[in-house]
Amino acid sequence: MDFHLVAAQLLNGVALGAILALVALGLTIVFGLLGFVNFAHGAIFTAGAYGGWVIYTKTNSFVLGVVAALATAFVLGIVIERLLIRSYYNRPPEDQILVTFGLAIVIVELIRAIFTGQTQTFNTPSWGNGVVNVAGIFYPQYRLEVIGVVAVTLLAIYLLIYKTRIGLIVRAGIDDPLVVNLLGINVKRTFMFVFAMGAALAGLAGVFDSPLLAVNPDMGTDVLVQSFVVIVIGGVGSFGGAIVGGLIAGEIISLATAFIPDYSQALLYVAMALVLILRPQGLFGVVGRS
Amino acid sequence: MAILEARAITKRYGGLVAVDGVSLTVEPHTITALIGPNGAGKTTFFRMLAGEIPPTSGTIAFKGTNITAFDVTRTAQLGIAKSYQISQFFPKLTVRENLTIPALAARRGKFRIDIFRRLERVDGLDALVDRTLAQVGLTERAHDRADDLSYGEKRRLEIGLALATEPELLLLDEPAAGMSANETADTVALIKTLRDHVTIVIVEHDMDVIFGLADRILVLQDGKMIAEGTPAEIRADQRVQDAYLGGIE
Amino acid sequence: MIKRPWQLAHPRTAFALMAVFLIIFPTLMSLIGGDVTLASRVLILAMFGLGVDLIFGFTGLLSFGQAAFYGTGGFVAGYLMLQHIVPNTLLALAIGTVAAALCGVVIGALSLRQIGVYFAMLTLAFGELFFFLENSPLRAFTGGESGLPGVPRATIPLGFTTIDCTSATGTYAFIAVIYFLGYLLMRRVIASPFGRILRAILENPERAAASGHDTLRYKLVAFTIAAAYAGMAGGLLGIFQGYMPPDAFGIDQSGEIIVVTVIGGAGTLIGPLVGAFVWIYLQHALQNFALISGVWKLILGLIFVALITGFRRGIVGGATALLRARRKRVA
Repeated sequence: MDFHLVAAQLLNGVALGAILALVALGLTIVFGLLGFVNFAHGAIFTAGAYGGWVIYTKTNSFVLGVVAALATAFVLGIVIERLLIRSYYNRPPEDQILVTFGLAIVIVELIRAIFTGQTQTFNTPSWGNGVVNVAGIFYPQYRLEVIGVVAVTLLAIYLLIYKTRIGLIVRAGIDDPLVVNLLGINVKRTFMFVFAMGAALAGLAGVFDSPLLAVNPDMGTDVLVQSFVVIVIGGVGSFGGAIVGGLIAGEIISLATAFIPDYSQALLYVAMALVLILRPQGLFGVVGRS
Repeated sequence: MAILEARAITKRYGGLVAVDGVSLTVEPHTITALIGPNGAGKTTFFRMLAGEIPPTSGTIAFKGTNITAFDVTRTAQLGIAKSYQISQFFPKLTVRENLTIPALAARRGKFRIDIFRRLERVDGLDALVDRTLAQVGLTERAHDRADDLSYGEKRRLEIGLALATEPELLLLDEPAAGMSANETADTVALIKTLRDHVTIVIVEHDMDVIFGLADRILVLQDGKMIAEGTPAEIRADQRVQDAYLGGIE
Repeated sequence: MIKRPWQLAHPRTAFALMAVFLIIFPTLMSLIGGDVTLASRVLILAMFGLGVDLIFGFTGLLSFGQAAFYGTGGFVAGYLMLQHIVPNTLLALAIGTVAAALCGVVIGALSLRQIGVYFAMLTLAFGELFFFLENSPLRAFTGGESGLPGVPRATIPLGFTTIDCTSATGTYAFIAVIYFLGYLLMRRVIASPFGRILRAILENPERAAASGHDTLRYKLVAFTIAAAYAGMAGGLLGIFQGYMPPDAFGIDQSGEIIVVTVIGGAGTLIGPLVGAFVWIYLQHALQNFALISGVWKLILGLIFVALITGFRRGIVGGATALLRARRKRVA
């Protein structure tokens, strides 16, 4: 067994897993806290990627591109939530799935209409070019940086949700909206903020992933489905679950690609089906959350 | 032989004990009432009888068969039907169509792939539905949508849905909940007509209903049974007075 | 007296109407700028949709993996025909349908214990699983990303002669007859006691179970029937195109059939037919207008979102509501 190959694939798995964890976190926050299933999450990922691409190609600054991606996704999240999602919180899950699925089609087709279906190149930023010597293998620098940036982002989100007053309000608002309302805090706005934050995470992942993936209107579909796998494996509504699930999913894909390429994608869905059948709450989830 | 025997039924949710060692024996063709303050565990106990939730410990036997682990479908097929406190019907179907559903289960068992059969060919289906409609006084409303019914009519439909399974034991969960005095009197009259055909266990808060109907009363408090007996005995029982009846005559 | 959309006409009238419609459909299509091949496409999708309507419109099961059965039926039937293992068209289609139904039983048994979102995600996972299995490990049989070219057109050997359905019109006739039979069958299923119980499961699954019905098994049978219909539709696709495309599997196809069913009207049986017509015709009609040719999906997506939000019953549902209101006024 080629050590270098395995090591490279393991690292690939972490890089891929980092992106997936980021996407999944956005999804699981909304699903776990608001009880809402967002099938448009992949489309928002795509929208963020395009937002980032537009600014990046204009200004040649990756940082500005990231900001653009965040802004695009965040604003999109707010718009969707206010116009549509808001009236769906109490509707049956099938309706939530259908409307967000429809929204995904609308967003993706809008992007396709504006930017054409052509794949756009998103060059690796200059500081990401080159390779780094990691344990004897030469590994693309950018991927390591993605891992790093994602880790920092995850930490920031964690602190935001669990260590700040705003995060406390968000968590309380989800548990008992009436009480929070009585305390004078606007629950509607809180929900909107949570939704938009989930969207922003998707957009962020979109721009980070753009140098690795091809930027095209359909780039979000696979990501959406894969992030479902992640939150199922990790457990819906679990912060840690999104991260661990992301890493597991990333490793499954990477290692399988190296050793049993024919089954690399299929294996992921086998894993998801197994978890749903044997332990529906996932690794860290809690049974009974809607 | 007793039609229902529940022995030492306990239900624990983590550290919380909702029902603690409650036993109940029900004789056929009687009306037994379960009363107690809110949180006494009546609803939980009832749900276990119907097969909705499993007891943590204890056994339930129906006509000699151990039904402790049975789910709602099996208990319904065996002959136990429950009418819910909050009406659970099929909103967009007509009253007749609503009653057809449990009737189909009574006539056809719990599963049959009769995808080519015509509805009219199901033996005795129409007769059962007509009978049930008459029993609950909804014959005139048979072709109206269920969610167009008045509140009282919905409660009658609720009882009808249980009756249409042709049960031997009928569990009524607060059948008079939310009713006016007139509607309550009608409900009591309805239940009285049923006692010849089915055995009834009823949970109620309305004392007039209870004392007018029950042959035996079981009083629960904090998950435990604190008294059991005839209405006269219960009325005279000091523990019950203290726990529940307060100053009611 | 409440009349459901499919009850507005006496069954025999409905069947006669459907038969007449199917006969004039290709002509209708030509009149509005389409042709008989477009009509065939609509019917294939409508056939697929009959099954989806059964499980979603009548039972409330939202499955995002129906393409798994569509593809399975298509590739099994297509492979058998083109490799001359089963040259008899009808037999090959039947085998493909059975294969799809078997997959339906297995996936249904594994998935139907879950409800709501978990059920949707599980069916999605299985749909994707089938797609990736078809794409890579099984590509010797399925042609992988290229698909299966060379699926022969339909012929029906009757011993003394062979009915040739190889022309475009012949193919349409073949598909139309099968769709008609499928529609007949489905109406029967819906009207049966079995069908009633499915509707009860849609309205209040807990009450249906508490009434004494084994709801899990009813759902499983319905799911299997839907898989069979999907499989037959897939087989017809292969014959129609002379080619089995790999994207017959996959989430886009699964999503498309749901959109089509909802736009046409779920729970109406002819909803998928109407929805398929709108979907396919719009795509065809707009392609000549360069400016908005890419936008047909966007338009339909917006319509879809609007329908879910405000008006669940789709085109057919809306039409029947209008009809009912008119009748009330006249009566």
